Amino acid sequence: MSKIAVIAHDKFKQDLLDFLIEKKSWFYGREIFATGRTADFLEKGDLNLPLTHVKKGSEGGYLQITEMINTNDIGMVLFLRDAEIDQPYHQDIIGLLNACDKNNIPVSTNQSAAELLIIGKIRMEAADKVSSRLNMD
Amino acid sequence: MHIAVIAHDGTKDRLRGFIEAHIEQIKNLSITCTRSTSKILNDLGIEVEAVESGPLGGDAQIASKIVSKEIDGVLFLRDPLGKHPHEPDINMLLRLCDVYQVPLATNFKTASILLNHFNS
Repeated sequence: MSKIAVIAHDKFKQDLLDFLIEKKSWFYGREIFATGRTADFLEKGDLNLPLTHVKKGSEGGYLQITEMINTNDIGMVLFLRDAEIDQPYHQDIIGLLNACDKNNIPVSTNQSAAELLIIGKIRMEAADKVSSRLNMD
Repeated sequence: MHIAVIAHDGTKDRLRGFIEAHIEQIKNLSITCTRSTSKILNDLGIEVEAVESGPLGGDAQIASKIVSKEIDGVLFLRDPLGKHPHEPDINMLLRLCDVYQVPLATNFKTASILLNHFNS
């Protein structure tokens, strides 16, 4: 599995931290990219997973992630979006979501979808392991 | 469980194959579709509730059902390269999914993962 991008708007930064801690064993050993202030927040929390910082959203962080999606560097995007406030970089967000859909990359924009994506990946990986065992001679 | 399925014209061909590949998971769900998407599911023998097509307000009708908590998941197979006269409606639907924390898939890969968890 390639790299994972995580982004949370202010309202959901704590939720993202709690979510990553809860699912930490799955994220362990995977490369995680986070936009500036999300990365800062996660590092201040008790996460202890290595993170790569990109710029904060207002300074082009979404564009950096979008570029990585378009070059197939990112394999999943977990985005906890606060849809109740108007973001000044709205167009960057739309561009990022478009890149995910253009490249058919698993993406969540809220925590409900994020939960199901990770559980789904865990199940799929488990099923792959089982089937490769069953196919062994 | 009640889900909404919407596909733009640019993704409708792929939707047919996707539904066929996931028919066992889909056939027991209660489903609402926009008009022309509903025809694809009907062709494959799946009964759905149809609302208007997107440009005539179908996305807005589904958004309204999200607000009234009638929808438990949304598969919205968007065509990010297409131009849509109802772009504001599309953004409204995506926005309300996030406001109400409704699981939302906007592409096939995400949809196939989420579908594993949409049970009748």
